Amino acid sequence: MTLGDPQTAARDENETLALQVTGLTKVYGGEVALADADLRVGRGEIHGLLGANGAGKSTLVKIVGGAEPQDAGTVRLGGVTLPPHHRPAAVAALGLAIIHQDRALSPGLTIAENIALVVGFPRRRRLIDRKALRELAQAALQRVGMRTDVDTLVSDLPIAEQTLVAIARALAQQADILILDEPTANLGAFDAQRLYERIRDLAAQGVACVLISHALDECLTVCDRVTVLRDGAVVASRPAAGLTGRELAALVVGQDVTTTERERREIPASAIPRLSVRDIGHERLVPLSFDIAPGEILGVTGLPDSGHLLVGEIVCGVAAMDGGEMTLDGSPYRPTERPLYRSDRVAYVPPDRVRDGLAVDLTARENLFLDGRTPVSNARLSRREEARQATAVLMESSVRPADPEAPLSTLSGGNMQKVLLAKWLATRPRLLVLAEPTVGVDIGAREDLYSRVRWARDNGMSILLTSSDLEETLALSDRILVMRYGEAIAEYDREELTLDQLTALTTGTREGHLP
Amino acid sequence: MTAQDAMSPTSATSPSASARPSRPRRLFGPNALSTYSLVGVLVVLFVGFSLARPESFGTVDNFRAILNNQVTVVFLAMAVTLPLVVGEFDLSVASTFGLSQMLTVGLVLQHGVPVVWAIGAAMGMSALVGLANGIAVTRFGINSFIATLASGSIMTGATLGYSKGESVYGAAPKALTDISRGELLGLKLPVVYAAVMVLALAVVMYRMPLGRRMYAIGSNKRAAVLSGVPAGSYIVLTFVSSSLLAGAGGVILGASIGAATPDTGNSLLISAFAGAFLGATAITPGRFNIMGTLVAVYVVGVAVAGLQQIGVALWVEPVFNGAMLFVAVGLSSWTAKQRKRRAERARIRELENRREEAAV
Repeated sequence: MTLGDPQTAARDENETLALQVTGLTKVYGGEVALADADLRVGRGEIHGLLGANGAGKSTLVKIVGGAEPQDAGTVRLGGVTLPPHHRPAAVAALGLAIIHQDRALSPGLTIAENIALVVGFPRRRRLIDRKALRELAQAALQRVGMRTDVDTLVSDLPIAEQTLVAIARALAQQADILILDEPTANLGAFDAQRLYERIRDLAAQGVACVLISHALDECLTVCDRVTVLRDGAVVASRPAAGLTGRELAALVVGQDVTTTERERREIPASAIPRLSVRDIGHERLVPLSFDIAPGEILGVTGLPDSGHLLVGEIVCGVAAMDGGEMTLDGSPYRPTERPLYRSDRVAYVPPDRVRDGLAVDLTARENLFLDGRTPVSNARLSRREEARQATAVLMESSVRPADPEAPLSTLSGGNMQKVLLAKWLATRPRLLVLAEPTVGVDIGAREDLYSRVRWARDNGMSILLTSSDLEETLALSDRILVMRYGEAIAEYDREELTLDQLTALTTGTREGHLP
Repeated sequence: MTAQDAMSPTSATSPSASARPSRPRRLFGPNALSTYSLVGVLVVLFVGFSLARPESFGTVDNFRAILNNQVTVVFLAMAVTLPLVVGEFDLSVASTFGLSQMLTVGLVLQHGVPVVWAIGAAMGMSALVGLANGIAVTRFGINSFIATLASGSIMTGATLGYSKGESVYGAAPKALTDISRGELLGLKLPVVYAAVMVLALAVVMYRMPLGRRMYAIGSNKRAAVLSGVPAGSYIVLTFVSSSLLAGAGGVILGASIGAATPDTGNSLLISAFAGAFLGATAITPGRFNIMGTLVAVYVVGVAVAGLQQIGVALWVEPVFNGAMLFVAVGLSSWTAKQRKRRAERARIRELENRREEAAV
């Protein structure tokens, strides 16, 4: 073997790779989920794995993690080629850990107990050594820069810190390759930023991180390289530095995305606002006031916990209002005294669509016509008529598949959200309250949802958008109300704000927020 | 429905936990009230009844009688607590208890089977029932509430079939009654058995990884599996242990009275659940736990014994048990709400502080 032999050089490079996936293929009953996919992640590299829902990201992760066998291709971890039917334990032993979106922690146990559950309980004379247990957990937390008491119940931690605990736990298991599935899905900009800082620290220590995310812009700033999957195939694998957000979005979707920039829209002047809110109170809010005109979108935004979601909840009666008054088209409106009636024509799309918004075991048609009446009139419908109307609604909202008899649980998150929005739009509400409408929704579905929201606005409906997603708020809103620590601190026309300014407004001074 | 939904001991959250100071396990922490309130209730009941009936209630004999009378309930309450920890119901324990008692006594008295073999048969039957319950729940995915309701009914039928609906009694051999009629350190043997059993369970559940893993399964089964806990095997193991505890209770009762009726057991089920749920509000509030269940069983036992001695009617006991179950579940959701309120108030304070800081 001579020096400079190209094969040796290639082998050397392979030795240094933390994770190398070659020619991975998976077919589910004729449907190609993954076609000859390659992925190469070096040590200390942050590698973005991107793609729309159904592009094959989760299939790839499942195969690498040992949850599914591949049909062809190889997986190498730190220079060791895994057998085709490897077990999850074998992967863990080679230092790979997958942090799932739900973090897979036991909320009823303490941080220390959660960590010991996977790394083993330290024992003295067969009993748990509580002192050693605490020390072990503290050491694990230190690696992710947390100083929280390890006897805290996981359910008592904010979501960002729960993710850090899951990472700390993986590191305590000697993991040096992390696959993070949507770690920032339910986080605000600030917490996401903190989490990314920790991930960078880890990468600097040589940990390889594969980051799966729908937040393309975030990926561009955090990742060293990105690999984009579309329809099961790798369409690009490039350094992040040379890419723009728009190019990346086009790679993910497969076509140039109509950008969300908009021209200025004149709101028709109206003597009576659709919704007028005066000094509404709640123990977590400083009393606040605002108006929404007919055919206007008001975006209320802020960090999680800044109270912006609460505003929407009060307006539709989910949260109790403590003082103040509201009028709807000029007449007094007080949703807390009774449940929302159809006659109010106020609709609420809640942030947790699976828990609060939909009956996922029922079909799309049943969800659209939950009480067996047409959304607009009170007439009862024949089953055939229901199916016909449901199909029309699903087509209008670009739900794929537009099959009224498909159980909702078989749809992707984005398509579920389209059904939920369609259900409420079909009632032709005067006021539509949208809370975090695109959490966990991929970019293609997101554009479909946005265009339906704009359609609603253009047809005279008023929309109160409460979202922690600043880009979304900028893309949709006509006016923006910024909240911080329960107080409305500023109101702007959309044209007056850039993303940077909005970010600065919501986070405020750093010292003021860091716990 | 899972056992967790019934009470959701972990649903209260406080996002400001990071601000909480280090919390080594203190004897009187912020939860002292809920931790020891049930113990307080027990003391108050005991002193109260002793003052009301000093000649009958406040005697050592009565104290020993209450200890002894509750042994069967202690066994059954532990038998329902373990499955509740892993998030499952076991409604079959009362029937297992009844069948075990009937088998032990029947085999010895009517068939002349040696005592050891009779006990072996009863315990073996119990283990099989537990195994069947566990497999039904984990392998076939039958909801544990339904699966154990069904297996319980089958065993009630088996008890009736074996006994032909008649009580079994007669001259019990000494080898059988010796198991229960002796004393150790002034305590009747059944009390000693119960004490050893509770102590062993407490060590396992509070101080050994096995116990933590069981709590992990009850808290979030998927997370436990992803953490490498073989949840299915643990759940099967839990059902087997639960049935064995119920079976042991049956053997001990059969030995101490030397007889068996086909309808014991079932009336004890409600007491067992009252103990487990009331117990979840004490010692480690929010979790089903061994010592809490123990204290709760004796709270109910002392209250019922006291009421009977004051002279209230027979119907009071089941009514009291049912009422305690309501109180227990109500109390735990109330404490969960209080925790939520506390967390909410802390959050509001934090928001106010941040507003002030931002304003400066």
